[in-house]
Amino acid sequence: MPAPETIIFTALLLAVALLALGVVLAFAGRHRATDVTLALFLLSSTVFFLTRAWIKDFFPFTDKVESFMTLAVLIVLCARYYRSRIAGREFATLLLLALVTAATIFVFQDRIRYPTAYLLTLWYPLHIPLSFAAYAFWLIAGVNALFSLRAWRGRDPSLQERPLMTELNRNGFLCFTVAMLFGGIWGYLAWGAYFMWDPKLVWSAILWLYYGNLLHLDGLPALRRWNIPLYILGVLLILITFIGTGFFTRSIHKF
Amino acid sequence: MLKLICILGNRYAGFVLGMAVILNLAIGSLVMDRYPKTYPPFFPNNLGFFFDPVQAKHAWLYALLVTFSLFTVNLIACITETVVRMIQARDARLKQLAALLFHLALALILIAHLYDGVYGSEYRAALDDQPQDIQDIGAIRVESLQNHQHPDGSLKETEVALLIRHDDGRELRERIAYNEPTLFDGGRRQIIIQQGEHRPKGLIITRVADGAPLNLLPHEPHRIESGHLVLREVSMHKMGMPVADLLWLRKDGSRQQLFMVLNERASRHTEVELAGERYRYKAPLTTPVAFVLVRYNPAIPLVLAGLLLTSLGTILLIVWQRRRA
Repeated sequence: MPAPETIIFTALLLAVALLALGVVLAFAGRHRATDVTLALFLLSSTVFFLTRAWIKDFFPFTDKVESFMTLAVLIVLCARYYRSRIAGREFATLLLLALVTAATIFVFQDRIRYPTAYLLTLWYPLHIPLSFAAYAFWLIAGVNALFSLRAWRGRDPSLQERPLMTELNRNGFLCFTVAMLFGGIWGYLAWGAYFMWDPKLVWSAILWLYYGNLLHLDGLPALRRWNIPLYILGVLLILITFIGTGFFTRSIHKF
Repeated sequence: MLKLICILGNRYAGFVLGMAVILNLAIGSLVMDRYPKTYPPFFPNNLGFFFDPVQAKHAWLYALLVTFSLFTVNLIACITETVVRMIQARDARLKQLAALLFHLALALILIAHLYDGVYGSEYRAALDDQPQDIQDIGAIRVESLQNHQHPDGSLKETEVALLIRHDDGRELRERIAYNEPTLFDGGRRQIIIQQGEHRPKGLIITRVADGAPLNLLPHEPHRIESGHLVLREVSMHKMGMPVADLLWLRKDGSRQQLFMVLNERASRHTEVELAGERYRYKAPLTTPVAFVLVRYNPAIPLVLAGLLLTSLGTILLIVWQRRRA
């Protein structure tokens, strides 16, 4: 029986390699082969998560390697779910985004540690995957907007109605709202406050307000044409919330 | 009246104000990160912090308060207008209801946060085995404290048993742990564990001849045949070992300062001689100390109402999505 660390590393390497293959196949328009590759990627990721959960004796969302991998998996799942409603190149770009997210973990030194006492609560594993699912929905909306940018510059009037972007935003908003509810309850029980002036919390509030505000665009005809750049800007806000506050601030949520 | 509400609740103004709030929060986050001494981690949530004294650094918060207030007025006007319209039309669609609940929840939570920021309070306390008065709760002492470790030695959990004697004489036993505070007054008051440990408060020494133990507490004279022994303090020696500073007061009034190394490996220095008898260090006398945060948030009922409305709004939106699908 190989050591758990070996299983984890092998599963991780295999998952990233399969995702890279999936990206190539998606850009080549080989749909069925892409699906098979992505299914194998998900299987490999499951082995990765289960082994880590077994070692840590807890849900595997507590360090940066697990966080990046979770986000990559959720981007793949969401992209696959919306595949019939987005262009082939958009789908391939989303897989590329997932690949970059997953491959980032090789930059870090992977030290598997037991979670700290504050993390050992059910609210934490409820809060994290839902936040990342929201990021995934919003990232798909952002990529969708990015691919519409050229048409937007040409003032294509059909771009004013973007039901898919609104739907993606609504799903993301729902996930993020529930994630914030769970996170708020956790914060109240662990630190006595559902909100603190911490960069991660402030930027999470920013994201929630921003995407909540964007949900109103459909009802504001004079502003509706700004939906494309605003959804693209949303991607930047997600990056700041996830990576910026996680690595470059003094947040207590820092990785 | 309805016209005024429509003007105040203008959707475009709401969108722009929402973006202004977001910009303010983003600037605030950067300022807070730039000045870690002014804004340390876990700095107080109360708004008084930003006004005592007023500082140019806090300009982002003053602007935020203005934009948030305008945003809340817009939000409340918008909600009122929607409710009036729903009543007039005698029609409430699922999506509209969900949106209404989300907006109501947001307005409630903003008001609750302001209320907490003005009237809320928090302070840190170190609780031990002696009763300590905690304002509006009662006298609290630690009955037991246990730290649990992961297999690698890192902290997994701290469990503290508290004995709380309320002002009316009632006694209550509560257990606190990480993520498990004890709540009072409908959740408005909390005692939250931050750290727990056993701290030395004295030491046990034994008479070498027969092994009879003596418990020494700081500054409490202990009678030994021809005099009194007093533990003055326990300090760290420059060699890195804990040392007990003892004072031997003889009946004739003379006094002698003695040092005892509190480390079993330093065998020769763990003994002192008193009235012809040798005494040896045996073990430290420890007391459980729980470092806690005592928090008062009077806005908790409002927050709970906001939580309930958000949950209802979420459920309605999910139902609407499913029906639409």
